Amino acid sequence: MTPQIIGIYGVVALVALTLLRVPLGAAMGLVGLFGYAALDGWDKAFAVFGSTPYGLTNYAFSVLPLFILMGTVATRGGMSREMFDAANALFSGRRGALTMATIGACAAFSAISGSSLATAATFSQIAVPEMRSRGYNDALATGSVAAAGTLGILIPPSVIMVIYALVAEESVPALFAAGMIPGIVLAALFVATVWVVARIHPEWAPASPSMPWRQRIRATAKMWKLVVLFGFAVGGIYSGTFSPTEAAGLASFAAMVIAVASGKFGMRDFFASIGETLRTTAMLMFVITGAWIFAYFVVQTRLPVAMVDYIEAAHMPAWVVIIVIVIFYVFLGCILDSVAIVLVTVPVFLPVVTSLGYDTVWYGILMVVVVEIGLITPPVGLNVFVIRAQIPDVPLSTIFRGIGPFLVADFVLVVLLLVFPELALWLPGVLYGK
Amino acid sequence: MTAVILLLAAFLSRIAGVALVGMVLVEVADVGLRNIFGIPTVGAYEMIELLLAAVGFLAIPEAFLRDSHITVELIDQVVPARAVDWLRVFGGLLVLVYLVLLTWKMVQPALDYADFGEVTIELGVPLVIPAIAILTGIGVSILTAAVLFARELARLRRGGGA
Repeated sequence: MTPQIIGIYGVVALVALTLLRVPLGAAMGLVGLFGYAALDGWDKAFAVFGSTPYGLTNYAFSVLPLFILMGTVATRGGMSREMFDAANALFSGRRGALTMATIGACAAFSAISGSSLATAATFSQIAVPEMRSRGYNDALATGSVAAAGTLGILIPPSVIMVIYALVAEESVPALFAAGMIPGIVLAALFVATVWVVARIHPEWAPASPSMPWRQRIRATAKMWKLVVLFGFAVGGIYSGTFSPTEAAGLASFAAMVIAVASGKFGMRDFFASIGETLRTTAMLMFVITGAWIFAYFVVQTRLPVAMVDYIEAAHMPAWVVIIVIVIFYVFLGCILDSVAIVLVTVPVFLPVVTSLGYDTVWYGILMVVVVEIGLITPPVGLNVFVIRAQIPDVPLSTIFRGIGPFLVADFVLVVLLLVFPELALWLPGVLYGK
Repeated sequence: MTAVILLLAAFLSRIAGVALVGMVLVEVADVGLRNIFGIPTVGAYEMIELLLAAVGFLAIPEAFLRDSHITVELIDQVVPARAVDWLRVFGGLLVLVYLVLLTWKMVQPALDYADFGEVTIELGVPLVIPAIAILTGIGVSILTAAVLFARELARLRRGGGA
């Protein structure tokens, strides 16, 4: 049996185990161990297997718990409410203003939280009840929160981008820079979607009274917390003042100071934030351990090299290969979690993509955009389940119906990224000459 | 026995929590001292890496107990509840096998750290210390995964349900 065939068996076994409910970390670790043993024998396989966890205390990994901590503190510290009020003031007077405000607030919150689930969970509690009480259609209210929640992993800082950077050995600052413009473009596309939906179905999105400018400015001024945290978390990285880990450490500390000073963050919230951060970090480390073992096996099979050779022999245009990969990711997003997709597919596809001449930073952003589509598509639309769990009287079918128009916006961004890669690469080029 | 395992997992999580707060404080002190007072902090990178070993791995046992690990539950919508119970047991068994194999094979590299007396460059901290934290986190996870497995088995025997 050739190494490539063993590699294919390994990938099939991994997919099968994952679909059979085996926790992802264990599935990847076991397939990696047995696969590598089939290639090179048990002695070598066990040597790699047993030493892998010790390699995960690299300084670069420390950015994960610190950014997660900042997001949980910001969530528990009630900063999301102020962002919603500020965005609401800015959009007031327009039809669908509350939905636009939800998207604006989600985009702002994404700038201090690296998680889509946290963003969706937070705003389903704040924005959806408010929209429903003002007569907004349930589908639009819940669909907009589910879709806007996905901005959490596109607008930096983003946990999934850090994971991609670690797997692809790419620069976290470059990825954070690359995600900014596509994130803003997607938020603008979502707002445009609300505008279009409100024109087609005016009864779905009632007009709200306009606020005086003084009130708007006062509400917007409350966004200073966001500006401070974003300044530490992302501004410090962009300017080269801090490394990602330093920025994450400072930003999480600043988030705690601001939350405590606001009087909305007690000891109970502090311990809960620490607990949440530890559980998420532990879960990620467990999965990354398995992913590292699996990735080592995949590299040894030379499966990615064989795929590159095949594509070259078939004379397939590069854009066709990328479109096939995008379609594959959309499909995967329907059945797998976003962390799983990144960890399982990057070792296989990244060599193919780079061999075609594409930039790894651009590919990372494209992948994040496509993976986030999976967060709002059935059957494994995690954002949808988070909203459903908090608003149980809205049927899943209603939420998915509301998401439909926003999916169009997502696919528009995918096309824009394919046609204009500069959308992602311009800012890293300016900041880092990348 | 289960109560002892739960206590042990909670204790390790507390240590991880202290290490997380330590990471934040080390970063704040490092950046503050360097940028405000121009004093470089010796070994800040190493301290962060040492603390990360505790933060990343000592909370894994409790993450198991809280069922925090990524599992694709798509099949739940396709097969009967009884089959899902069997799959939960199957998944729990494979996790146990994985953790036992991993812990077993992690012992020798940890012993090598101790035997070779390797230390960090700036602080001179023996590398066996973070290795012990990592090994403890994975090793104790065997116990918590076993508790979870026993719960799944009991659920299967009862005929399903919460």
